[in-house]
Amino acid sequence: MMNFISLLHPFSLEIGLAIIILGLFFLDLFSVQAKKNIGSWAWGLTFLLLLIHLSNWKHFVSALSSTYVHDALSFLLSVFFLITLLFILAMSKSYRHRFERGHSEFYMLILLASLGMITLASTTDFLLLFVSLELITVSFYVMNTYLRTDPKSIEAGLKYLVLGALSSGFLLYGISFIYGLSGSTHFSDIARYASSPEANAKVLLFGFLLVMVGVGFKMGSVPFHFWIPDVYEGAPTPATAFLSVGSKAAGFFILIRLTNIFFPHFQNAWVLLFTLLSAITLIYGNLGAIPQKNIKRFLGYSSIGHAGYLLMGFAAGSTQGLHAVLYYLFSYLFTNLCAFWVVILFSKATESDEIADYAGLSKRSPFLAATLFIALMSLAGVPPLAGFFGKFLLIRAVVEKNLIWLAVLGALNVVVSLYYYLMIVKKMYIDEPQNPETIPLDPSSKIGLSIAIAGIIGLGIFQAPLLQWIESAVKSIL
Amino acid sequence: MESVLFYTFATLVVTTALLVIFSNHPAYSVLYLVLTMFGLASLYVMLHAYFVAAIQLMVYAGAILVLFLFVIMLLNLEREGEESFRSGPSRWLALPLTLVFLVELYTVVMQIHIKGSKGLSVEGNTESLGHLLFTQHLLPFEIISFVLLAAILGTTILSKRNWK
Amino acid sequence: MMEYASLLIVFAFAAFVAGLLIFLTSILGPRRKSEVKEQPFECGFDPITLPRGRFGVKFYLVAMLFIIFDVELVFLFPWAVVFKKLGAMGLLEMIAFLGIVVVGLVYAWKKGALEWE
Repeated sequence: MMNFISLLHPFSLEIGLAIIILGLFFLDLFSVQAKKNIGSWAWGLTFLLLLIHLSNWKHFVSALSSTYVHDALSFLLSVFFLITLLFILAMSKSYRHRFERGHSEFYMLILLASLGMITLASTTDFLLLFVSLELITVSFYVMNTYLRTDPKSIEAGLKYLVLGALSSGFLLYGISFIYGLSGSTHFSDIARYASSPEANAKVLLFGFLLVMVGVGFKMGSVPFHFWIPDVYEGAPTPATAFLSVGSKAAGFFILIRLTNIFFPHFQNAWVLLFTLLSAITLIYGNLGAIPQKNIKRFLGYSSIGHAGYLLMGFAAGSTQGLHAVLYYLFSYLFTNLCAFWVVILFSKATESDEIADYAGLSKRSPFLAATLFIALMSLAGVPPLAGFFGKFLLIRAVVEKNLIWLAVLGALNVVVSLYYYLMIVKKMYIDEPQNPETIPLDPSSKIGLSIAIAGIIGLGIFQAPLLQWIESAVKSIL
Repeated sequence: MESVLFYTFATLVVTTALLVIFSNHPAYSVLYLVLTMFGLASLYVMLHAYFVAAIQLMVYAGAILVLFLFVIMLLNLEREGEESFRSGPSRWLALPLTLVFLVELYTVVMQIHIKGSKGLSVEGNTESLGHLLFTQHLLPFEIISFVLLAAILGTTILSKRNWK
Repeated sequence: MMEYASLLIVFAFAAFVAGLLIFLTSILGPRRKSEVKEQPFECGFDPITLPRGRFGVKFYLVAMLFIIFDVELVFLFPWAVVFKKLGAMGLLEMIAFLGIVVVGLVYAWKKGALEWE
């Protein structure tokens, strides 16, 4: 029995989340009273879990023949996912009116996807990586289709299902090549094989490229971006927000773990691949966003653009690049979730996601307009907000590697993005509202949005603590 | 003898897989897919992966394809939908891209020299699989139960007619 | 490998017999086509609708749930083979796995997904 408990210890976070999920199932099935407040239950329990997890800091272990590690990096990533989870759970509450069937299932799916993300944060083995990715993807299939009488939601679910299954197939095919060469799915064994004299770098590169198809789908980088606009538009908005932060970050986190294995062995191909991917993704995302009429679609294109910025960090391939990626993701977490939360609150009051209806928002709800303004400015990268510092780190990392043209392209895209973000700001502040009714806000959303704004401004001004944490985390995997 | 068997089954798999794509009626596609799955199972047997072969037949050929048939009958596809599905400019982009991929695949596969590994010992195949699954790969195994849970949740909520 | 040759022969023989029967009926059977014979038969009426009707979505629900539990069962086989070696740990591992899936079963049951309405 002692044996069993000591075996469980490294997985305390996963087990905690699993218990929350199963507990919510029972609350939903057997208690009419708790069923009504299941969102609050989920939020409270997850918050408790985050506190316990934070107090466990520095208990680093590895388990299961080290296919699972709890190092400084996985600690950082799991905190990232838990914060995302708390935001998503909170904003789903404002979206409840759209669910004609039970809302409790939606919370459970969010938690199930988060469980996949949290195991993903600690994985050092392709098998575990694949299964966690599948858990994330399967939960998203259902979440995207959740508004089951809305044709757009069905379309979103179907597109995500077909392309998701295809990309999983590519991922598996790539893993099988890597496994066939190295005889192991374990990252450190693969790294050992890759640096041994008998290694076949070409085939390894081919396997890696196939894996990149699956990862690229998650990240939403061109040319694996086709699903993004339609799925972002059709899916329930909390699911879209979760896709744009949690699922996207999952892709980048996988790539961070893989960088050390593959980057040293085909540096030239790696740099070429990621500079190209980054450049195309930047241009496509930022130009695609300009003509959009629907705010969710608009944020979808802008999220493609952000994937382009993040890929710049991998094009640099340096430790600085990885620091920049992680910092950017944290700033993106607060910024993007803040923007989506405003979208949810706005659509709750007006039942519209059209950009045209945002006209005169500053008169209808000054708070929402100001919040969206700050979020959009941070997305564009205006100082002193978080988005600016993230972009600064990325461009600096690229310049250090002498990829000047990519840095220039990144800077140009900042200008383009500033243009289309300001278009929305103009709508909100200068145009007259068609319907001057004020938009009511509940206090809990106000608190949540204020926290997100505090995150955006805080990360923009006080960079040092997070940056130090990120540096120590990246050091743990070198 | 072995290479004769391999090429027989490999041809079977490839031809039926092509027929899945090119047959006109989705129900025929599914039936060809059953044959593909059988061919794959025989290839697994030749690799001494008996457990995987058995699972392939039980789960894929047995259960999943029956579900496919159900869905096709459920949809009652009319002919009109098919044309728009097949045309479109992306179709002409697909061909060169596929060719590039195939050439790449060919050059890569020609380079591999896999050091003759016949998998695990013939008798203990399922046993060693079980051993790995329940020791080293325990976490993926437990995560799968959550994948199944998400699937049950999804099926129920999306396709149940009367909700209570 | 070779011990499975007999299995292959049985397969080949079965395929041969089935193919032979189809082939023989197609050449030996008499064929007298006429317009009346070619028509679909519907109790003397002219056909009203297409023969393939729609299935109810409940079939899909049942089939889908069946597959999920089928996949669950697959994991019991390798477990049963090494059960004795794993000891109590193995039992607990499997109880956790099954327990989680059973929660799903209870959920589907309570929501009435197993009822035929």
